[in-house]
Amino acid sequence: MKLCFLLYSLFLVSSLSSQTILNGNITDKKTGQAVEAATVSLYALRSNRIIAYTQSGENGEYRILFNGKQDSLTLAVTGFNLKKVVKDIANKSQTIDFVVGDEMISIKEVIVVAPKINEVGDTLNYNVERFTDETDRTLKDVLGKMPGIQVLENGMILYMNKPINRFYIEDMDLLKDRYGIATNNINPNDIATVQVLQKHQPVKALKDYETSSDAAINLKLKKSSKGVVLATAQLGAGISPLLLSNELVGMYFSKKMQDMVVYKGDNSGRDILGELNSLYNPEPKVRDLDILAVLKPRQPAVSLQRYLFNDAHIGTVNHLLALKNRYVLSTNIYYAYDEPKRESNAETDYYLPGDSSLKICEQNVSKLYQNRMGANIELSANTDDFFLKNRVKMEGRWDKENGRVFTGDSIRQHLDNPVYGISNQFEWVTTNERNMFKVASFAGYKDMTQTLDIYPVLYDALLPPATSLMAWMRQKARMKDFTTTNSLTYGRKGKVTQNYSLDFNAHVQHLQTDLLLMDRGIEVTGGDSLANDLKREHYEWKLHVSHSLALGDNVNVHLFCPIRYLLVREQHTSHYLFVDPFLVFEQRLSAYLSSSLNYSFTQEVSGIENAYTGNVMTSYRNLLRNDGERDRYKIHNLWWILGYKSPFSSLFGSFTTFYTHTRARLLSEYLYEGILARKSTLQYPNNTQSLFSSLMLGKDLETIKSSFSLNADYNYNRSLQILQRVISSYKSHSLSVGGKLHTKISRKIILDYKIRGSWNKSLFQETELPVNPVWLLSQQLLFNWLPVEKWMLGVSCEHFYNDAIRSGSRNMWFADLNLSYTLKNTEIRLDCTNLFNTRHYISTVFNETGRYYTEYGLRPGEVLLRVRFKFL
Amino acid sequence: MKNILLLFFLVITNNNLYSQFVISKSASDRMEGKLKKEILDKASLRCWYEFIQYCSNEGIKEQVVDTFTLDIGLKCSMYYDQNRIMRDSADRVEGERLRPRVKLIRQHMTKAEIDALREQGGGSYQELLSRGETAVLYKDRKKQKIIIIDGTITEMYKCIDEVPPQSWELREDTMTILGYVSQKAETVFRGRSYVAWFAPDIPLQDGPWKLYGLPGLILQVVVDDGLFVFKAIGIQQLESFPIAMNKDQYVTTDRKQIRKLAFKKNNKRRFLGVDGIFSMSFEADKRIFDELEQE
Repeated sequence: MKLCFLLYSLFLVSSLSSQTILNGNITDKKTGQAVEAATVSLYALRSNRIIAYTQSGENGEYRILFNGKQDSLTLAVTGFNLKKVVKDIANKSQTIDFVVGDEMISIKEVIVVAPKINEVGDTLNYNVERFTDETDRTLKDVLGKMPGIQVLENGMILYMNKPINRFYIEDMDLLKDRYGIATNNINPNDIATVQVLQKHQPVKALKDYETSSDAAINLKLKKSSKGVVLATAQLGAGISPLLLSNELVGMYFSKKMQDMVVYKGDNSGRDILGELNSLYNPEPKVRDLDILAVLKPRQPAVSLQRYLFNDAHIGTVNHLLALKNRYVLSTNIYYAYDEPKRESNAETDYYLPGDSSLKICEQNVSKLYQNRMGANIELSANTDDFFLKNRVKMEGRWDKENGRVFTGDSIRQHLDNPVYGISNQFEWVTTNERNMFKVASFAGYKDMTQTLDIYPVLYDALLPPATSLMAWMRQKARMKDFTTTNSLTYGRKGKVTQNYSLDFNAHVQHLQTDLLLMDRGIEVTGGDSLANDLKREHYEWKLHVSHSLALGDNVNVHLFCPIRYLLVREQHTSHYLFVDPFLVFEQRLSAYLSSSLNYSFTQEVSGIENAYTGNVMTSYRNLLRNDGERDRYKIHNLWWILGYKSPFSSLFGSFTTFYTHTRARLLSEYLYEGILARKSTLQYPNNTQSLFSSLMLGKDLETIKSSFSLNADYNYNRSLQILQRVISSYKSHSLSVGGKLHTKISRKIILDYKIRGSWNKSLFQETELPVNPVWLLSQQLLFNWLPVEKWMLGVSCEHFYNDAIRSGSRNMWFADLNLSYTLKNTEIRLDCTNLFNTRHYISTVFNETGRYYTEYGLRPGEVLLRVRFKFL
Repeated sequence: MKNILLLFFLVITNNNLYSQFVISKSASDRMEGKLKKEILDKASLRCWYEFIQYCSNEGIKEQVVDTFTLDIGLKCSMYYDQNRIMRDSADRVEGERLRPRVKLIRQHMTKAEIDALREQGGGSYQELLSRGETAVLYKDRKKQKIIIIDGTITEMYKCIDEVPPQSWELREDTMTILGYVSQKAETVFRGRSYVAWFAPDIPLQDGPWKLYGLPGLILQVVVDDGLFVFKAIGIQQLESFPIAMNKDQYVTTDRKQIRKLAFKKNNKRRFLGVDGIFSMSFEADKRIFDELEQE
């Protein structure tokens, strides 16, 4: 014990011998008083690393102990509102006094900004201001930059690669399925937050009974934008020849009332009609059946504005009123008019057995006169235990289309296509503690008339002989369709949530077609083989049982098992009994990762479009006829969705794999006689398999002010085809990979870059057809320069590459320029598009039946000046 | 005014019965923000910290981020949850808005009663999630003690925690945080190991939560290899912003008791208002958090 003490003492002495003790007093320069609580730090000589420190006491005294072998040291005194004093000293015990002066504390400020994305429960809040920069004009531009959110060309918004199921403004559904009106016209500066409501069940009362895996979007407006009228106008004019682009937008949002009124007129290729697209996933409706068509070439794979020769006007009025007793009344009316023109040269090769193929060369000019109108009025109430909705919807379409085709001869086509429809949708839900009752009913009627006139008479062998040279062919088709779906549901909440529903659906269709000869203004019928008068009745009774249960905290299982009895009456009556099970297995793997595995089996019978047996001239070179055999499909679907979201790191990703196996009884065959095609079917059970995989990644990189997204799709199809009486197995693979980057390089430079490459390969096994893989690449670089405040210059360059083009250049280049000047409430913008004046888009596409070469007319170089101002 | 006080009272307390409550003078002053204040110091610098911790939500590990504010004066500093203060004021505004219509307040109504109320027409329904920290920490660096104030509108608790500056060991490593060169220092405090990064260029010996005593402001702290993280996200200069404490009738308690109290309040409250008649319900927060202090 003594030894220990001795050793310890020795150690203490030796350590004391190498210890430096610094002490002294700190006094104030002005007052001479002691300075308390000053920090005294000892540094290795002139370094920025502190090796020892202390704080001065009440009398300004300090004492630092230091063990170190350095020769010299730096001693510094700092403190609250004190001027820093630094002294270099030798490493020995000594007394050093400091006299310090005052200095107001001065700190480099770092301003705190709200986080870009935060998550509260199932709601994700995207701070709009943080995603907006000088290049953004509409909400759509900003949405596209938010990680996890995508906006498709047609305006549809996807969250985690899935379409949203509702779009709200301030928690109210003003625009319904036409939310493009909002995304294209609301200024992002009026919006505070874009909310993503995950797992959104639009019917609040059904929240515990019917789960949803879809998300909805809700816009939270800034306080300054609520309860005031917001109005903007745009005047735009340009040349080559005369371009006009005008708009008038007014909106008002308050707790009790919401309004949005839009007028737009444009002939500069900007797709204003697209703003009125219906974007929700299928709600009950009567399907359009367009049998006849004016033959048009495939649309080019460049942005729509490059090839849209439009002359469009749209108008829409949307009004929502919150009534007493939690009811909401909303009305939406829209009208659209457009006269798009198309011009193209096309070469089509249809594959025939052996090495032969059929080549058709066409020069095509067409003009469509679109006239569309729609209105709906809806009364709804949506509370936690009660839901009521009744929506009456009316629509009308009066389209006319003129086309001319030169295939050696000149062929004139004219299509008249009026459609009228009316429907009513009713839904009523009530819940109490554990039970739910639901009544849903939809009834709709649609009348579609199509008349296709073709001059001259091409198929004189089919039709009675014409007496005049001015005779032409007329194909008439009229379809009347009444659809109704009705269901009664009872649900019970518990450990296992159970829903039982009884459905009755009916679908009554009447199709009349007639191929006539128009000779000296008189309709001459072509006989029974050229006419159809087909009634189809389709009745369905369904007992639907569904169970949902939670296994532990993180696993949910849903099982749906509808039993369907089907009665189809055409010329003869058939009965079917189908069981269509559907299984969902959802698992939350971690706070960020979730997985959903789904399987479904369904059976279907073919519809009226495969039932008519008389010839129908669907276009000037397609004469179609079915042999009346009804096909029956057995469809297995298996899909897996893996989702990853981390709002903290702004990283979102999803991976989807979809596998479908379809078994059909019949195989269709197209027979070509000259340029005329006929369809017939063969009793030959066959399978079609398809695999679709898709990967989406979105990330916001705050540190380098960038956001990027990545999309990759893979598609595989395998089926059987008949080519001129030979059954052949057909396979196709396609892979498409694309990325998008938006980056603010400096305060003055903003860069956007988009790239997409795709690879396509088709293969017929038995017939060794010459099908080569096709490579396509498109990229766009947009460079925005903000030299001084309020001014912005943008240069954009687009490149397309197609390696299937055998003659001519495989590369296409486009360049655009824009200049804008922003005053307080006014923006002046000059656009020069297509600087290289590229007039044609050339593409080659392969599919199972042939090769399609198209040369498509593009808009020439144009200059457009637009002034947009906010007047309210 | 009585009605609105009662409303607040019921929002905060959790009682199944319809009962009568006696509200003390100090409680009513507290609710109306009329309490006198003691100015402890004047702050000249404000630093925001992100506090990252993990919780177990029904078996799943989740990250929870809160934003705290540290107002620093010569002798004292004040550390509080910025969002919490904002949330409370939002509740208060909502309460004010509803005030003229308040007639009767009930709690834990049955579904039938709620339905009956709704039948009368109108009504608003709200869910309020009280998350985040309610406690405010006053740190007196000279006296080496921290005053923790926490509680409800009805009762406020005070705890004096004797915390001498942690004995930090300086390291040579440096890192730039918010543009400041920061030096590394390590310590062990109440059962957990702390790695701190402080900025000698900000000569204030303070830091987030109960941490202080380094020759510069602490800008980042990593606790137990990332189990908890304090991270400075912003710094702002203030012009003599008062560090004030309510002069209230505090119930004195110890720091372990005051933590237990804090966890009780992490619940979701719903309230339904129909023409001045209000009902409340509560749902406990199912998340399980780790404690920073193990001793």
